[in-house]
This record gives sequence, structure tokens and C-alpha cells, in this order.
Amino acid sequence: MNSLRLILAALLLSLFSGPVWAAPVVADLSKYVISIDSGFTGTDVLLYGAVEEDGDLVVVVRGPPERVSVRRKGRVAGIWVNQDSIEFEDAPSYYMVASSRPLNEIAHRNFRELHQIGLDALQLTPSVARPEEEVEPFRKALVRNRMREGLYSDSIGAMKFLSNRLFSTSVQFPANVPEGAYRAEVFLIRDGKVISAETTPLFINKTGFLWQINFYAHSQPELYGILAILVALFAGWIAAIAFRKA
Amino acid sequence: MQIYLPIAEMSANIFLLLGMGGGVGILSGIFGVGGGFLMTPLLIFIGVPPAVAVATEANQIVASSVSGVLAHWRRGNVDFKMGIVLLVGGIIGSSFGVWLFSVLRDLGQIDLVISLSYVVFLGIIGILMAFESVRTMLPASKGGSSRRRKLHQHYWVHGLPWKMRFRRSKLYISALLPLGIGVVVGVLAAIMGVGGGFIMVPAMIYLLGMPTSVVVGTSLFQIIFVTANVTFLQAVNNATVDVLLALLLLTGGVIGAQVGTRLGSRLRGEQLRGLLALIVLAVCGKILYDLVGTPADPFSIGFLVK
Repeated sequence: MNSLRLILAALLLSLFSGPVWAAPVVADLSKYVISIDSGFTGTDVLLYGAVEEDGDLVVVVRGPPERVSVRRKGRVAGIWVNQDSIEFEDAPSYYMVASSRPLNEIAHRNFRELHQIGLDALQLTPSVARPEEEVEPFRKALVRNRMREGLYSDSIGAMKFLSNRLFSTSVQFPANVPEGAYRAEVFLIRDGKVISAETTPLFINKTGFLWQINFYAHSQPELYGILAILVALFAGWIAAIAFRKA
Repeated sequence: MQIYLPIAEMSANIFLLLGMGGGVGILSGIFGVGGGFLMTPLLIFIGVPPAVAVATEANQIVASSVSGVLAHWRRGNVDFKMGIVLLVGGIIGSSFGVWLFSVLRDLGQIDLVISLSYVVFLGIIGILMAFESVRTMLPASKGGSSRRRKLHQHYWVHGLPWKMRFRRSKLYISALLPLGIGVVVGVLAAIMGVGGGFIMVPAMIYLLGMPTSVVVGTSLFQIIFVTANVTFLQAVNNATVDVLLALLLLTGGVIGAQVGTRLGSRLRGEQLRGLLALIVLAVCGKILYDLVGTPADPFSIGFLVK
């Protein structure tokens, strides 16, 4: 219901505003800011828009890049122990791709690697150079682990079309979604080329006292540590008094 | 009802956390143990990152030890002099332990070391308790067990220098001994996220020869400061103390402990010990199984270098 109204709004917007009408693809998000508050259990954001020309639509939503180490366990004396590890620079902390058709039918892999479209086309470079055949299993493991955590996903056919020109897709953020500046990109691709693209920013932040706890834990760790101890001492003391009277 | 934990960065059921606090609190009330050695593995089982579980549990133990020590203090069951010597060792050990924790984490081996420490210590304690409770439950037929115990037995440890008089414990021993015990327990407290009472109490009775009446109060007294030190150092070095999680756990914990204390006085000692031994061995077995069993995915994502 809500999504329908948004699509209608997008339609009206594109009907009445001249310059937007001229662009081959326009897109927007139902929210630009996601607040992580104490009741946060994950959320969905609707990405919707209108397309003026023929071609394939691909939506990519990407979180802030981070340095990640992927470890491999091996068996040592009957126990599974982390043995080898590879660090990747600039791995997206969140990555979601949605398209109307399988990505390899839309464009060649080289092209997709250029724009980082598709889980198999992410540019995951190890921080220390290693032979490609050693890196590949770690790269796949990173994607697989992130998919399991709900932070990476690819959905083919998750794009909804209303008439031929209006589209929408739902972007899901799980409870463990990292904070930061996100980017939602919509590509219109035809004959293996990007005809048009539109980027919309999205911010995910902790708010309220969650933000404060996290902020002080990282910016004033000494003060935070002392306060944590004082809170515990006070709580223990209160408990001792309360139950002595009872 | 779900609640988002700001440092663990995950959403958890508030009633599950309160219930865990309460459940472990009941056990700690019945058995007179801190419960850290049960709570930390439970937190890891529900998906709290091990580093956060260990640091947050240290913070919770500060609270439970304070409420425990006040009761013992009123009865005069705290040997402050002994507590301070143990504490000096504890501060040294726990500071070293937090440093070691950071090093192991950067090497990617912290989860392994936490698990191995649990398997070793829970295994030893669980087996010892199981034997003891089985032996006491068997009809006390074996004659000659009434051998009179001497007030003091003299080992090599009594030849160590820096002898000190501990009036309340009725001991005249080298300060190096409690200092050493403090160091060892401090390291374990930092790495395992426990108060260390389950190691300290037997060590005080069997190694130091302290009278059992002052053992629990004195160990709680020093645990307050050692876990406070761990909380502070973990907060400063690793930013892994989740105060919201700690508050939820201790709310359940203090209530549970009161219920447990009342229950404990109605149950029989040897059966209780047998029950605790089973719980300890079950936790130990689960951790061991996770270490030995083939993981679903041999690859994992390690600590993020920010």
C-alpha cells in the first residue's frame, strides 16, 4: 500500500518536473536515514523510480568499505584452529544487488567488475599480494559468510514493475547492519553499456542513548570504563540493601 | 521484546537476557559461586562476540561480588590483609591478561584460547566435584577416614621468604604464595571473563590452608577489584564492555541469587554438588564438541581492523 503510494508520487513527480523527465532513469528511496534505536531489529527500505528507455535495470546498495580479515581453520591435534588468514582492503560492509534478469545475461563480467555489479564482481584486493588461486577461496568465503549474516545478498527478479516504466525493490537491512554512509545506485544497462545511472545516499546511525553509549565507549574509553564500574558498584550495593530489608 | 545492544551490535530478546541472568543467579545463590564461568559461555552461545562477552561479564561480576561481599563483611568473614595481598597479584595478573587478550585477538587465536581455558578448567573442576559428591553419597563405610587433620601441614612452600602474619586466617605464611595465586587467577579472569572464585576458593583452602569461613568473603572482596580492573582495561584497550548488556544480566542475576540462596538452604549439600558438577561438565562438553567437531564452514570473518 505504502509502496504503491510512493510509486504514484514518483510518477506524479516525473510528470510535472521537466528536467527529471529528461533523465532516462530516476530513482529514490523511501528513507534517507535509518536510526538504530534500542528496539532496532532490522528494517526495509523501498527503492523506487521510473525508467524512460529500454534496457536492464540493476540496483546496487553498498555500505561503507572496511578492512576485513578472513581466517581458515585447519585441524591440529584433533582441534580446529585458525591457521591461515587474508586481509581484504575496502570490502563493502553491506552489499545488495537486485536485477530483473541474471546478471551474466545483462553484461559481461569485465564490465560488471568495473562497476562492481554482482557478488562475483566485487573488487576484493588482499592487503598483502598472494597468488590468485590462494586468494580465491578466501574471497568466496568472505561473500559466503557475509551472506549468512544477511549483509550481502543478490536477488534476481526481486525488481517489481508497474507498467513498463515504474519499478520498485525492497532493500533489507538486518539488525547487525553496520553504521555509516551507504550508497544506492540504479544502473540502466543496454547492450553491455551503462545508459544512465543514479546514485542516492543513505545513512545508518545509532541514535539516542545507544549512540551515546557507543560514542563514549570509543571517544572517552577511560571515562566509560570508570562509569561502567561505578554503575556496577552502585547496582550491587542497591541489591544488597534491598534484599537485606526484604 | 527485542533490545539492541550498543557494543555487541546485535539485537537480543530482553527476557532471554533477564532469564539468563536470573538462571545463573539462582545457581550462584545455591552453590555460592560467581557464575561467570557459566554466563560467559552462554553469552557466546547466543551470539555475543566472545570479546564482548568476556569484558561485559567482568563488569557484571563487579556488581554481584559487591552485593555478596557486603553480607560476608557484616559477619566479619573477610580477611582484608589476605585480600589485599591476593589483590596485588590479581591486578598484576589481570593487567597482563588483558594485554595477552589483545595480542591473541590480533593473532586470531583468542576464541581458541578462551575455549581451551574453559575446557581445561571446567573439565578439572567438574570431574573433581563429581568424584567428591559420588564419594560422599556412597555409604560412609570405608573405615579410617576419620584421620585427624592437622591444623597446619608443612610443605616446601613454607620455606619461602617474606613471611606475613594473617590474623583472621590464623596463618603465618610467605606473601609470595597468595601473590602467586592472585596473579594466576587474575590472568584467567581477564581471558575467561570470570571472577575466578571457582579456582581461588579451592586454592585458598588447599594451598594456603585458610579456614573455610573466611574463604568466600575474602575471595569476593578481591574479585571486586580484579574484575573492576579488567572492566577498565577492556574498556580502554578494546572498547568491548557493553553496559546495557551488563545491566540486564545483573538485574536478573541479583534477583536470582536471592532466590537461589533461599533454595540452597533447603537442599542437601552432596546432591547440590553433584548437580553443579553435571552442569559444569555439560558446559565443558559443549565447548569441547565445538572445538573438535568439523565446523560447517572452515572459513570465518575475523576481527575487523578499523
